[in-house]
Amino acid sequence: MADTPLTELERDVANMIIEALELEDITADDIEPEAPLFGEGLGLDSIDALELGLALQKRYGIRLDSDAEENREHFASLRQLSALVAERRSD
Amino acid sequence: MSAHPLSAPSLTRCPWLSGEATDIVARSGQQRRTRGELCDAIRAWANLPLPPDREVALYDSDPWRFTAALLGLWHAGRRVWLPGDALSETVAQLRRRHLVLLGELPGARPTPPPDAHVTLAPELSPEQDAVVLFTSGSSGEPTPIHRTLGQLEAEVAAFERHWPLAEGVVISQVSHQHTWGLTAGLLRALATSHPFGLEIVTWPETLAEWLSNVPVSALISSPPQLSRLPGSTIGMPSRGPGRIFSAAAPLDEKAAAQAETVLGSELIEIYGSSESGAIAWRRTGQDTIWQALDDVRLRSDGARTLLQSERLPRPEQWHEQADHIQLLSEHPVRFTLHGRADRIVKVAGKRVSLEGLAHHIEAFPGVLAARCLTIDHSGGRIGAVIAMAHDAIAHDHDTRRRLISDLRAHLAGAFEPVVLPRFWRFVDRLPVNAQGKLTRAMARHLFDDLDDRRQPRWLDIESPDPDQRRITLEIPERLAALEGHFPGRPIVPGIALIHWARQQAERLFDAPDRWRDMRRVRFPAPLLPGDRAVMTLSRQHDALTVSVRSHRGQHLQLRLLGVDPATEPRESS
Repeated sequence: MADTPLTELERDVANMIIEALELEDITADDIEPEAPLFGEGLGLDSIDALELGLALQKRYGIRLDSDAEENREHFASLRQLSALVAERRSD
Repeated sequence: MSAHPLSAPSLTRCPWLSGEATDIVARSGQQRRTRGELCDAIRAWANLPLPPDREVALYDSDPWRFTAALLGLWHAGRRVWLPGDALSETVAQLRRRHLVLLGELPGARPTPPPDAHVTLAPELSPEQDAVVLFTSGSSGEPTPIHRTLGQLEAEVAAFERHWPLAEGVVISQVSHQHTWGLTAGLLRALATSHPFGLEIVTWPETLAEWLSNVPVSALISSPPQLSRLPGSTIGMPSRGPGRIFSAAAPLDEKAAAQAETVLGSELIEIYGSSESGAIAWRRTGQDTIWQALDDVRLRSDGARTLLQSERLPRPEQWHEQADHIQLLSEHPVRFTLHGRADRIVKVAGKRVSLEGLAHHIEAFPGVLAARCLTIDHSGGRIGAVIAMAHDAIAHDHDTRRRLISDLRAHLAGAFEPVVLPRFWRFVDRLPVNAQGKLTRAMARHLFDDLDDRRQPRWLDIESPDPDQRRITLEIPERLAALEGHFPGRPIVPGIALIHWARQQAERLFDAPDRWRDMRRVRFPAPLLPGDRAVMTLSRQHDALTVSVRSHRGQHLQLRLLGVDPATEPRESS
C-alpha cells in the first residue's frame, strides 16, 4: 500500500495506466504517487511511454508536446502526470 | 545542395569526405551540422591512440557522436563491435572479449576533441571488416555477425536502386546499434550524401514537428512506432516523408495502411534478418506478397528455404534460412512467408531468445522450470509460465507482487526492459500433453483470463480420483466482477464464485445443464484480488460438493444436486 492516500484524480490516472498497459499485479493503491513510473519504480519502459501518450489523448483529450525532455518530466511520477491532466484536460 | 543523384551510393569511396566544408550533413528541427564539423570529428577518432592488439566496441545513443566515431574508426582500419544495448551483462560480455569500450559504455575512453590536421585515406577497402553486430542481444550467448564494408555497401546500394532517395533528411525511429537502423537510417544517408537526423525520433509528436520543419526524404521506422501513430491526420503536417521504410519485426497490414494514410506517404516493409541482411520487400498496406530484392535469389527446397545474397559471406553459395516460404514465381522472385522456425522473437523490435529468457528465470531461487511465449496483449509482450516449489509460490496480492518484482530485478541486468515478461503465471508443475510436451497452445491457455475478464486464472487441475477434481485458480486484479464490489475494498462477489463452480462442474463431469440445483451455500471468508485458491469438486452419487480454499481459509462451500435431464419431470411444480 502507498504511504499517502491518492486523490480522486490520481486514482483515475492510476487506473488509466493499469488499463492501458494491462498491468496485472498492480492496483491503484500500489502506486506510490511520488515514485518514478519508469525504470526503478513501476518498471515501465519506452514502449509504455508511447502507449501512455495515446491513452492520455483518448481518456483526457491531452496531446503531448513534442519536447521529449518535458514529456520525461510529466511521466516522472503519478503525481506529476495527474498535475498535467488537471492542467490540460479537455474531456 | 548536398545530394549527388547521379553517383552510385558508396561507402568505400567515402562520400562524407567530398564536397564543401559548409554542406549540411546532419540536422534536426533546430540544429544543422556541416561536413567540416563531421570531418574534424572523424579525423580525431581516426587518430585516437588505441592498443593495436585489441578490438573496439562502440555504443553511443547519439547519432552524431556515433557516426563520427564509427567512420573515424573505419578510417583507422578498425573493425567495430556494436552491442545492441549497454546493459551490465552485455558490458561484461564485451569485457570478456577484451574489447576496448568506447562511447557511452561504462569506463569508456573520452571522446577525442575535433582535429583538423590528420590526413584521412580517401578510400576504404570493400574487404575491410567493418562491424560486428549481434543476432540476439538477449539470450545467454548472443551470436556475433560480421559485416564487411562491401556487404554493407551492397545493402545500401540495393535500397537505392529500388527506391532512390528524394532530396531531404533521412530520419530514423530506430537505433543505429542494430542492423536495420545502422544500414537504412545512417549508412544509406552517408553513402548517398543525404543529411541524417541528429536525433532518433521516438515520439509521434516529435515526428510531426520534424515533418513540418524539415524536408524528409525517408523515414526509417519499425512496427512499434508505426502502430502507435495517431489515428487521424489531425495534427500531422500536410507534407509527409518521401517514403516510409519499416523492418525489424512483422508489420500489421492495418497499421501499415493507417501509417500511409496518416503520413501521406508510401510505406515499404523490408524482410530480412541480422544474419542475411535485407532479402525482400512489399507494400504491406496493399499487398501480402513479398518480392525479393534484385540482388537476392531464393529457392524453396521442400521444407528448407535457401538464399543467395551479396550480403552473405559467400554470395555464390546457397544458405539455409530459418523462415519457411512458399515461392509463387521465380522471375521475379515472389513468395509468401510462413512463420519463423526458431524461437527468437521480437518485442518492440528487440530480438530476444525465449529459451534464453526462460533459462535466466530458471536460475532464480525456487524455480523448477520456466517457459516463455509471446502474448498478443499489450503490444505483443512476453508471458512467463513458471513452475515453482509449492512453498515459493505467491499466495496473495502482496506476495505475488513482491515475487514478480524480484524476478524482474533478477532479469534486469541481462535483458532490456521491453522484453521482460509482463504476464506471469506460477504453477506447481508445467502442464504437458500426452507426448510430455508443453505446447504453445497449452501455455497460452494459462493466460485466457486476459481475453475474458469474467474468468479467474485457471492454473492447474488435478484428478486424485475419478470423482474428485482440484483446480488451482488466481483472482486477477482486473477481474470484471470486482468493479463496484466494493469501491476501495474489492472482494469477489459470491455469485461469481457460484458461477465458476457450476461452469467447472459441467465441464469436468461432462453433463451440460445438469448441476442446476444447489443447497447449503456458504461464503465463510471473502476472496480478494490477487488471492490464489484451490477449488475442489467431489462427486458422491448424484451430488457434487464444491469448496474453495486459500491460505486464509474457506471462501465457498456448496452442494450441487444432479438433475438428470433424461429423468427430469417436464413440468416443475
